[in-house]
Amino acid sequence: MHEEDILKLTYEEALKKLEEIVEKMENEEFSLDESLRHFEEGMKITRHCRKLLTEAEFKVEQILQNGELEEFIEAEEA
Amino acid sequence: MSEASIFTVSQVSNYLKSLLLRDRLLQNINVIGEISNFKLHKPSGHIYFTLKDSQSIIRCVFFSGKNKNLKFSPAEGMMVVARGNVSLYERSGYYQLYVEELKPEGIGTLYLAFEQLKEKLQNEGLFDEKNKKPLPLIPRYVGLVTSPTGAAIKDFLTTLKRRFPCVQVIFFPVPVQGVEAAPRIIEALRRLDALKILDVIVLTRGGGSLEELWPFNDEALARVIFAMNTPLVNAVGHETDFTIADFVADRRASTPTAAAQLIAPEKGELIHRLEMFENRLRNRISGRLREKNMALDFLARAALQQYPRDIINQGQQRIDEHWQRLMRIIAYNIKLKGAEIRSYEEKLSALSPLKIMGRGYTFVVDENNRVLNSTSRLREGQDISVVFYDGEANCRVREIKRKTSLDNQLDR
Repeated sequence: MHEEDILKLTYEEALKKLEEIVEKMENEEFSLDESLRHFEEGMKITRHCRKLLTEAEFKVEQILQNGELEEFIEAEEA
Repeated sequence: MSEASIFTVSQVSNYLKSLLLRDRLLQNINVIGEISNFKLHKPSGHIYFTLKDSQSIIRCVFFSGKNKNLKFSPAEGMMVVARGNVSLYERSGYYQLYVEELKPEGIGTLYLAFEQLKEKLQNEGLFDEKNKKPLPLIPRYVGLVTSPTGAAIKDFLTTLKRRFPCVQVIFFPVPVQGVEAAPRIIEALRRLDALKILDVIVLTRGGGSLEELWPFNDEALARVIFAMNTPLVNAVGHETDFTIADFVADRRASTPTAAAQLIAPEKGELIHRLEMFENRLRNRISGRLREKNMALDFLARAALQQYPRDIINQGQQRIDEHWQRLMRIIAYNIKLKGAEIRSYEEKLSALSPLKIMGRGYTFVVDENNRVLNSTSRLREGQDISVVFYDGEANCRVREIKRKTSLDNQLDR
């Protein structure tokens, strides 16, 4: 898979692909070259997954009557 | 029967009981009244209470075998309709209603409406498992429809943030009880669904009475939920409260906290899972490299043992090639580098095995072309070859003179 295609994967797709690669590497015989290629691909996918898990931060926005979004701040307890 | 007839207490009780049991009306009767003296007998599960109105009371017993399918919690002061048969309790000498079925009156009609709507929608297939949309493994954008005040939103957001602090929540505030609630929830769901970027929408509120939870039993709401393209998690009330929205939603969570747990996996767990994959990949590739290294070692050793001549020949040939290349380079560079280059040339030529062999060094091989490096491997009369840099001589061993160990020591 090309780098750009990996970056387009959703988390589910990426994880499925990763599982496939790991299982293939564990159960089939590959030449060293192919093994290295699979390894590299697998590592690229884990990097992508990690990024999906960490890149966004927690944010709560409220939809206003006019449809605009505004950051939602929870009311403090009295 | 003569006037003098005397009856025992039991006989009278039995007679009265037989009269009651013979009466058709009393054997299947609906009684409306207010519950009082409500008692649930814990070990047996039997329920005892009295039904009363302004003028009268009647004792009731609701056995555990009959009351286990009860769909609401009867309580003091509640108006109910009890169906059952009236009979006599001989031991205490009073009559009572043996309850077969108990329905709340007033909210009883709500309850009936709920049951009817549930059955109708079920028959239409709105609750079918095949129509349920799967939740994403990790959500990026979460829609939230609930009241801006109260414990529900707090519980949900706190839990979500703790488990999976990399989501964006789009919150649509709505009233969650009262007549306004259902239409406002419908609008919220429609608008959030239309955003098309949400991975999941959560509709939630805390627990409440049947009346308070009533907006979630709205038929129009059920149909909107069914038509949505975004997966919906419904989390209304507590563990025991079920609403129509629960049945039609893609997933039901029992509480707002449970909804957060359902839609977001623990981030730590996910990272751990990724690391496991990474380790498996690494193990596999280092295993492969180890195998290849071992195979190479093995081949090299085998080759050395079997074909020393060959290796020497090949080595020589490669040295020759390198030598020639160097010579060409030297010749090319000689004008530029002069004396410096010449000193390298001398150093290099001193290192050449050919040069060494040219100085008179030879080596000896046996009839199998194995290099002989010790007299211990020779025997008299053996055929051997002495290898020169430009050829070889076949010889026979006439005599072997071995150095004694003392000689060896003196040599050191």
